Amino acid sequence: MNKTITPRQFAALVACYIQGSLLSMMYYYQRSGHDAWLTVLVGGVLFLPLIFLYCRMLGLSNGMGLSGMLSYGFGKIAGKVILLAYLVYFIYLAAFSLRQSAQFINIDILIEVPILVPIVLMGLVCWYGSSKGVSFFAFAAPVLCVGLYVLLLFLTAFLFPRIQLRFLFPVFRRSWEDSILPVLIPFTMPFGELVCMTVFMGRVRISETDKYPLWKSFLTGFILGFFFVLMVLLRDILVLGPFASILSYPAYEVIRFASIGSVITRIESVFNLPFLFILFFRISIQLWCSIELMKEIFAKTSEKRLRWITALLVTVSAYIFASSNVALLNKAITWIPLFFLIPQVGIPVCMLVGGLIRKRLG
Amino acid sequence: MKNGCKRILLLFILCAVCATFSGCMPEHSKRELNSIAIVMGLGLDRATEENRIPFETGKLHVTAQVVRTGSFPGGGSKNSGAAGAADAMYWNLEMAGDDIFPLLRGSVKQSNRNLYISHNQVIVFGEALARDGLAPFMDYFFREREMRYNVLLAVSEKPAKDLLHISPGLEILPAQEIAKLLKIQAQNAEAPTISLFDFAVDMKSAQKAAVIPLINARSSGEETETVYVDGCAVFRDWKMVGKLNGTQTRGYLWMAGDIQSTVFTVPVKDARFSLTVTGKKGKMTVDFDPAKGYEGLSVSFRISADAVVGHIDGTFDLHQKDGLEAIQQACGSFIASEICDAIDQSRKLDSDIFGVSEYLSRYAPEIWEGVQGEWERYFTGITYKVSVKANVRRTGSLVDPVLKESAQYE
Repeated sequence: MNKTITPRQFAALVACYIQGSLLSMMYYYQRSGHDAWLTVLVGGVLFLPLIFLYCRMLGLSNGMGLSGMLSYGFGKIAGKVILLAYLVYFIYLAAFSLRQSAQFINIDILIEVPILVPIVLMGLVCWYGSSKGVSFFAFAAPVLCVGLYVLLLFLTAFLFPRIQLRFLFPVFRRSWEDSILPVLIPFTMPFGELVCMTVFMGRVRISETDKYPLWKSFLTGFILGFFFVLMVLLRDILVLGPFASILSYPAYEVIRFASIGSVITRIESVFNLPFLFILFFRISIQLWCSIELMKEIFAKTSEKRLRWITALLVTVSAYIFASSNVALLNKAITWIPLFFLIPQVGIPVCMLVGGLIRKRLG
Repeated sequence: MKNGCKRILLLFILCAVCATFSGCMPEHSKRELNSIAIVMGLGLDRATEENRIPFETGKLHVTAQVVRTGSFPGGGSKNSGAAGAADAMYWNLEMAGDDIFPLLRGSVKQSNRNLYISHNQVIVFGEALARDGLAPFMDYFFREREMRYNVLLAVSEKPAKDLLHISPGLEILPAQEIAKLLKIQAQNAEAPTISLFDFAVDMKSAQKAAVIPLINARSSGEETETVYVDGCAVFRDWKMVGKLNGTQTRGYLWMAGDIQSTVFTVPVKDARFSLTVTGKKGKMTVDFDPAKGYEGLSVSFRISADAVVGHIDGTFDLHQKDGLEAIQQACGSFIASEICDAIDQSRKLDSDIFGVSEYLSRYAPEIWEGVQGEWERYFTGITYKVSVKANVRRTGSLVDPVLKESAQYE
């Protein structure tokens, strides 16, 4: 099985990861209302330096993945300890995404079944996806990325008659103090989550002489995903107006307005499949990253066993993650973004500082 | 590549199973066609002594018009009929209670199928209930997954329950008849076509007042009643506060929405011109004179309309100098007078139907912050300027009138 990916596939993978964050949009609306697009814009711009940080670290560690970077930045023992912290973070992230997706299925698709059913089913599918390894992600990402753009354009065309520009106004009428948390939400979910791409970075074929290897691919993928999210947000705000901030899943509910020639309406179910597929893809990536770290930490245990244990941990954590959709929402718009800052910004910055000191000291 | 395709296909199938796996649905939540009662129209009234249902109490009276699928041609029955007859095409379920959700769910006390409102086409509110306020129902309508956001709304001067009992003239079901009647209003513009979503968005926009078309039943002579649409009900803070008649409604629509087409007659010199007029949504600007303070708010409406001559009663030489100009001027004045009439009525009702408050809150938020607290006071002091640009684009199949002199009716 081919265990390396090309820079182009890596770019598509980054884009797909961001594209799969459609369910997080309700958090942006909750905090920023119709200014959500602006907070995403600012959050995205603020994330850009982190791309160069990861790429610089990749260059310093001679093309190693996250575990290699941590070892280079913090030393072997501290690096292992921090790797364990990242494992906890990735499992938490996967559980959070799985719970989000299961909640969505439970609210909009399988309405009257216990939430355990979608969690277990989705968990199983993601386990299967992650077991297929990096070659599967590498193959599927470009197809998915393009497919989702086509679907977005197709759907936006049908929603075009319902677009009202007035819903964008007034633009950003809040104080800077009130804007920090709203910006922090898109910054950490999904952009900051791209820290998990450092696990993939070790699998990409790169030139060893480059000071910032892979930055072009990372940036391209980021821009592709970023514009997708921005387009979806703007479309939803322009169609839903004040309802964007009170609907559970605006990116999905907006499809209720699409009508093809006033004959074919309520086409949400047609979009269920691609919607679920990208959610699955994102969780599978997170699960795969967790398994990779598991393999690094518990090198003596068999891969198959580790895969099962990780999937089980994620599924159980997803089940106990929150008691309801409101509890999940409250967590996501209050302390989760703050907690995520540690593995997404805090540790990488320390890692780079450590790496640069080490390089200077030789 | 081939293996990759297989994998993607397999995962797609797994996801599909995940999404559509309905075998684990419990018996009570199954939605088979023969286990649901398809609702085509809902009527909501204030419960009164006249519409009291035996053994049921509460302030709300709901009528759900359900299709009798078995009575449709091919469904086992030969003809249509009125509600109540065993082989009627529809069945009007009536319920009374305090809250809409328990009421609709409780319909299983009299119907052996659950109500299914995904295909509901129209919601009719009785005027008495509309005056009490529609806010209590909106949350349910938007929270309920089955409800369509583009379902049409109407306010009936008669109890809504009565309108859903009127035998349709052209359609099979009364609810269908009402829904189609509401939709076609765009071609006459004396009543708006308002969906649930449009109404709720207007109500959630600053201090804007919303409108819902008015429907009523009328009968000529001994003939059976028919449903009739004219004018609209005005809502402020989710409560009906008054009405606009047909021409005032058109005055409002010149500004508020695209007028697909409407017909009116204007006198020009010795002739009477009936014109088919179309108009794009008008443009509003708000001017603020800092010297006068917030009392000096003035609103300008700019409308452009295209007219087609449909009928000339009388003699008029279209070739004469300023001939078309005179028609255009008369047309513009007529439209302006209708808008002024609507402005007067909105002032009387103290309701911002044109959305000045929304305009300020969106495009001039600093002014809006100043007037928001005492909006009602400032609203009545607003001065309006209306400018209409009408253009005659065509004269139909004729250029000159058929008659040399005006035809007199006796």
